[in-house]
Amino acid sequence: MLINCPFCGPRDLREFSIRGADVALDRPEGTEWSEAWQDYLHLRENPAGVSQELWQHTGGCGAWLVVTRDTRTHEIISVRSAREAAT
Amino acid sequence: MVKLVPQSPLGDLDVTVGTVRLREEQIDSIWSLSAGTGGGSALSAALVDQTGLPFPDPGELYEDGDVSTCWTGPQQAFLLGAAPSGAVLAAGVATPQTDAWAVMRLSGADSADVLARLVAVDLRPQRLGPGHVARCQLGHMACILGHLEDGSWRIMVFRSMAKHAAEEIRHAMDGVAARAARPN
Repeated sequence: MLINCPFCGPRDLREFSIRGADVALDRPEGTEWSEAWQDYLHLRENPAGVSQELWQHTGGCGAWLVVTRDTRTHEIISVRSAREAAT
Repeated sequence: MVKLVPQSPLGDLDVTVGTVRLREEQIDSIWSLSAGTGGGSALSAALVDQTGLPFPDPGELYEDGDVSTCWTGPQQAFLLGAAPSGAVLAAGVATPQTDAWAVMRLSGADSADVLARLVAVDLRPQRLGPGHVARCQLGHMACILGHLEDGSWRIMVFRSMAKHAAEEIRHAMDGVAARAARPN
């Protein structure tokens, strides 16, 4: 499985660490407890299929990446920098 | 007053096995530069003013004599062989890293074959030719692998990993030389 780091090019899976679903890109507003915060902290979709996740290129440039991949086939559909995705 | 003498991480390592030579490279100044929130153009202009070398884009390495700049991560680069000028410090964020890194130079005809035993990156000239750099792992150690204009490789690892990295490379050099000496 190769992940195409936007900075380093295609690299082996072993250089990357997974953070999980990319919920951190869509953080609820405010600091008051709400259903949105409940979902943000505890609820995950966990689909068998296309999912969007945060990975870090820990064994390389250190960049945080948003990786879209299919959990059934391990196909990597797209990779982009989390910094760009968040703006 | 006692005068303290700095010790290099590898004690002036210099070994040759077969066609490949591994030696410690003494760099008296290593700085990490980041554009921070100021944007990269001002920092790059200040760097060009001081050294003639720009702030490198991803995967790039520039050299001029003993001074070089090399990309090390998103919006981050190293300045080697010179301390940043006041203008560079004003345009970006800089931290001194001189004592944090062990720097080695690998040269010789089979040097790419030696590296291929240790790093999982494409070392072919069309991907990592002279003037390019890769952040990758050397065995299990984080490293900065730069390909210099003279064809040799600059390998930087954390200073705490210095001797282990040198030993791993030495082992790979032995393997490549033994394979070359073996009749087909």
